Order: sequence, then structure tokens, then C-alpha cells
Amino acid sequence: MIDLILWPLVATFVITGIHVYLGLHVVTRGVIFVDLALAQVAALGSAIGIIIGLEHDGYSSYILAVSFTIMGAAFFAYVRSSKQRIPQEAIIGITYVVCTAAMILLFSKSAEGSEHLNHLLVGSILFVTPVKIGYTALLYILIGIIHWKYRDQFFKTSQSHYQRGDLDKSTRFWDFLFYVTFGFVVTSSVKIAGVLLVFSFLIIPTVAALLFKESIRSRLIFGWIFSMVGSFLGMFVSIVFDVPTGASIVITFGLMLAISGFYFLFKE
Amino acid sequence: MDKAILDWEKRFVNLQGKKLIYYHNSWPYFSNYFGLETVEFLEPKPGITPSPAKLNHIIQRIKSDDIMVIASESYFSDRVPKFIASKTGVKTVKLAQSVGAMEGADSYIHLFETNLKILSQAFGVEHD
Repeated sequence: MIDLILWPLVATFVITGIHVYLGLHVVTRGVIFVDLALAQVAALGSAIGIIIGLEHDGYSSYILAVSFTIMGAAFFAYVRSSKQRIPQEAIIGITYVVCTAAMILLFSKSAEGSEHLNHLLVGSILFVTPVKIGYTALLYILIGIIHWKYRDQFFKTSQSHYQRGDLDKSTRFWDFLFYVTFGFVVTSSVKIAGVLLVFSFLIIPTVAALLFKESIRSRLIFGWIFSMVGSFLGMFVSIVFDVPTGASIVITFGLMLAISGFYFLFKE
Repeated sequence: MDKAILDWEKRFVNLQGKKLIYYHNSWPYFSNYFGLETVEFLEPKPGITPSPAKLNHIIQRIKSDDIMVIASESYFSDRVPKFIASKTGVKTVKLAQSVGAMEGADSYIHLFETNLKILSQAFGVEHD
């Protein structure tokens, strides 16, 4: 039994590392659902790959998904910088539903449809292989290094997010780079853990950290601990109550946040 | 069709009593008719991934009962069966769940023929 959950647990720790950090940006920007939208854009890319007959987990299918992600990143960066009266969150929501609907249309003609749609949502963290974890960790470390090196630029761009219209060239560039790196991370994580779990890793620990901590550093550390404890407890719950792992981690995160919320109110 | 059934019964008699695991419950009558013994389903509730305990149970069962084959619908990704295979050495095969689902299964009769041949090969039993 232990060997069955060892690698999935390692995978949740790898995901925790970068997602809690990116979650800080996402929550600061107020673009909570951007990960769902970008994941869906990438999934649409994979779906087109499957329809034209590319191997499901193959190299060319990945390239297609990544190119879609980069287009999505460029689009979200553009939407922010253009002068407009529409909230960005609306565009994000619209992107999500249109891409999902496009996938349903594409898969309506193939037998594989429901399996792919379902896998995208729930994922299957239990079946992750050590090799996959290795590659993913490498990618996240690389992206982590870029973000560490240019942390001032990235945080400045995120914090100025509510300033709209004429942005200078460098803000646009960092905005685009943020969405590209974010897109890479989300695409890879969704393949392992599914949309529900990835969203939870991104948002829930960060929201809990916002309740209790002020500085970026202490929020990050709080989020990491929250996320690791939650993953561990979620796995434990999944074993004890004999239920699917991904969903029980999401529920555990939710409960932990609820308890944190009550504690916060009580303390006030 | 009747003639074909009699023919299959004779040719694939060696499949009788063989134990296997299916992904979903897609071939109950087929298995029953040809004497295959279904031990487990990977997803008893289609679309809900197995819990760690269930997965552990299946892996133990494969080891203790010497189960050789996991058969899944042709349209499923073989991630889960391959994962179990990597832990146990069980063989994974894909079967046609309907006419046209796989190469060779282009008619109702060929559907049975194809699936029976795939299973015989997986179990390593002779057929005519």
C-alpha cells in the first residue's frame, strides 16, 4: 500500500512548490480562473491532436498543446493591455466555456470523448510514474529559477494589475512571460492531477495564507506547509475511507480552509 | 451466426476457465458464454477512478490468483492497465467493444473473431 501512494505524494509536493507561488500572483491579479481557462485552451490543442490522429501522450501532441497555451498567454496579456471596458475575468470565463464547448464538438464524433473529458477534470494522480515526476520537477525548477531571478519584475507586473490601458512595453513583456510560464505549469500539472486538483493547489493554500500572513515570504511558507499537510491528510483520508485520491485531497483542502476561516473570525 | 457460434465454441475451447480483469463491465455475456471468469473490474463505476485500497486489492488479487490478462475497451487510454502491469507483469490487451472499434472488427461476426483471437494470444492458448 505504501508504495502505491509514495509517488503520488511526491507528485503533490512537486506541484505544491510552484503552484502556491503562482497562486500568490494569480490571487494578487484577481484572475482566479485563468488556470482553468489556460488548461482548457491547452486541452483543446491536445484534443485537436487526438482528432487528427496524433499519439495521446506523444511529443507532437504536447507541442500542439503548448503552442495553444502560448497563444492563450498572448491573448490574455493582450486583453489586459488593450483599452477596454470589459473585466478580464469575463474574457477568461468566456475562453473557458468556448474551449470546453469546442472540445465537446470535436469529441462528439469519436468514441474516446467522455474518457478524455473526464480524465481532464479528475486526473489520476495515483497513476503518475517516477519518470513523469522527474521531468515535471525539472520543468518547474527551471521556471522557478526564471521567476526567482526576475521576481521584482514579475511581482511589479502582478501588483500593477488593476492599472489598465496604456501599459509600457516592459510590463507587457513580463505579463506575457508570466502567462507563458504559468501556461506551461498548468498544462503539465493538469495532465498529472486534473483540473480540480490543480485549481485547489493554486488557490486554496494562498487564500488561507492571506488570512494570517502579510509578507510574500511568510505567505509562501504558510501556503507550502498548508498544501503539503493537506496533500498528506487527503491521501490518508482516501486510504482510510476507500475513496478516489484526487477528490479527497480537494475536500481536505476545502475543510482546512473552512477551519482556518473560523479560527480567523474567532480570533478577530 | 448460429454456425459461427458452434465454430467458435470448438475453436476457442481453451479459453474456458481463464481468469481476467476488465476495465469496465462491457462484455458480460461474451465472457460468460466462452467460460471466461471475470475476477474484477478496474472501474466498477465507470468514470470514477479506483481508490488506493481498491488498486492495492486488485494488485494483490492478480498476484495471488495468478491472473494473466487485463482487457479494456479499445478507446481507453491504457495508463491504468499499464500501471498495474508495471507492478505485476500482467498482460494488457484492448478488445473491440463494438463493430468498427478496431481493425478487423468490421462486422458482428468479425468482432467476436477478433476479440477471441486477441484473448487466446494473451493467455497463450492454442486455437484453430
